[in-house]
Amino acid sequence: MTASGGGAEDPAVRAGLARLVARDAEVGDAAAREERARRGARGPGDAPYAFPPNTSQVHVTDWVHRPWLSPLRLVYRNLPRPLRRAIKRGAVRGGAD
Amino acid sequence: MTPDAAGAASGALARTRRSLRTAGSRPAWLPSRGGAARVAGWWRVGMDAAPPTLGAADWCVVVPAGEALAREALLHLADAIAAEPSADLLYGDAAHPTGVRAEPWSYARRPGWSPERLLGHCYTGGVLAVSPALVARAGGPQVLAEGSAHDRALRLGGLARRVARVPEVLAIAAGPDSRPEADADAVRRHLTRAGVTATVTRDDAAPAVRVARRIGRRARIAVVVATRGTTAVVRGRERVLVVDAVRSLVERSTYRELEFVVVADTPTPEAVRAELARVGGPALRILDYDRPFNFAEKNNLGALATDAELLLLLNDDTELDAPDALETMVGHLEDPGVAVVGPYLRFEDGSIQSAGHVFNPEPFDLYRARPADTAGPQNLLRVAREVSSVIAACMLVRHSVFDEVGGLCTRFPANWNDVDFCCKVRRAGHRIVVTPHATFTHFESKTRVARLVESEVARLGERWGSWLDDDPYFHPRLQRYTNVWKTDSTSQRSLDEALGPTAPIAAK
Repeated sequence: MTASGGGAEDPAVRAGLARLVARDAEVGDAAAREERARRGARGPGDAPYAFPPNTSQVHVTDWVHRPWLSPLRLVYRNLPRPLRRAIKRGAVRGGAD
Repeated sequence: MTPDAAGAASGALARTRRSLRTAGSRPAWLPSRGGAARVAGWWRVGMDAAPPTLGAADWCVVVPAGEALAREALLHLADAIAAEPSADLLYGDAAHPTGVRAEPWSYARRPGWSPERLLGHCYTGGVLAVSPALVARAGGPQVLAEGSAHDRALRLGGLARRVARVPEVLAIAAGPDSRPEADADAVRRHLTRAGVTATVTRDDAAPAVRVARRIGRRARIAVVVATRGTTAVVRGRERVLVVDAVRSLVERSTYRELEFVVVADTPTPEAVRAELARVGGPALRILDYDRPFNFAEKNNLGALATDAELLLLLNDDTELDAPDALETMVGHLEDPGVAVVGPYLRFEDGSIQSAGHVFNPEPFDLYRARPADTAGPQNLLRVAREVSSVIAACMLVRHSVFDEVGGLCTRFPANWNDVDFCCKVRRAGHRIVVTPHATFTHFESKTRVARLVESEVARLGERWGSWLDDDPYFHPRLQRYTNVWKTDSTSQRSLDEALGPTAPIAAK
């Protein structure tokens, strides 16, 4: 079956390629409609898609160790343990709600 | 429910029980904000002689002895149940103590539901939330109590109507080792229940289980290769890439039901065509392509020229490594839910070129340029698993599905036609699997960086923006814009964990 030819200029092949393109467009359009609906639900989504900004942690947000917090940390660390636990629990609960 | 309580050490049991009390004794955390489901953490910790019952519980949370339930676990579960009321099986992440004071925890972040990966190892972990109806379908609590965590996950996963991943820490593990357990016997039993004939072998070093499904009927594969007859120096020798790609399959592959469709640009030298014809023999056909370069259209053209049941889209700069690679890949297609299978591709120096794609949100070749023996966190790279997309440099696809979704999109002439194609396949309800047990070499430049073209990004996002932003086989708490499975931290430790346990865990 080694043969050359039967390339993109063959009418039958051209029809086959057109059929695939049409099917791709059909599937792609349906996906695009769903995508627009999803983006619309999140807010105005008319702008062309671009990868969102990188919100990964690129540097350590170590706010606990900022100098201005050290007096507060000193006080907190010297509170009685039950009080510290109560504060911590409250902070966690506040964050979750 | 702590199914393995009878054999557990009393200390481990006490730890589990304490965590259950802590989690369950905080009614302010329950029920969820949505209030649609009430989580009743049902636990019987001990060595009761009587078979356990679920009573009136709305949910059953399985906690292996020695593991602890995270304090917020029930809250996260309640939220997840409220968000996905149809889910009847849920699992989530685990925290592992490191023993290092500066970074006391490492986190086993788990991907979305991946049944193929579950055959390889118990990636879901031991802590599962199960609806009582599912427990009953699986044979009741006693049946679940008898097996390993892997056995439980397989039984429940095989019967669940909908499985949900909770991307939050649900479990506190007892030790630092986050490698999932792998129970080969449980996998054998599971496959028997599912009526699948396969050879199951256990890789003790990983640990992981390899499932090689028996191929019922050896379907014919058409290997579609787009080329322009390029030559390159490979391993110190100048070679015509496409000829060697075809030769490697003809000479090395043990899968003999092959035909070749080479789509050659018009400038392809006559000598190359003649050599191809000689190597491929009667099973090879060359199609001329005289249009501007369009990788997608060239592959579509090749697919149209054959009625083979399976298509192997193959770059001309690839070479088969393992002789049984095609059998392995075809074996995955014995699962009717799987439509596309990708092998691992390696660079010429053996390092990883692609172990499947990950969208985070840019599509990356997972672990590109990392050493070949990289295990990844939780042995991610050691097992066959579902992915969102695989590279079109080597992709086995059902011909019927290729036609069903309209082939590769010609609006992506060079980049991301594979990503778009795989998204179309997944949208049509099929799964995509990548396997480490089939490997090809891809003689691509290791330093090649795909140029991002805004218009192409927009075109891809127009169809799949939300899919790119939320890859189910990735995790929202992992670092974005990187090709490794890495926690969102800048520490060296997070990178070490992303590469996997190449050194003994205790040494870290």
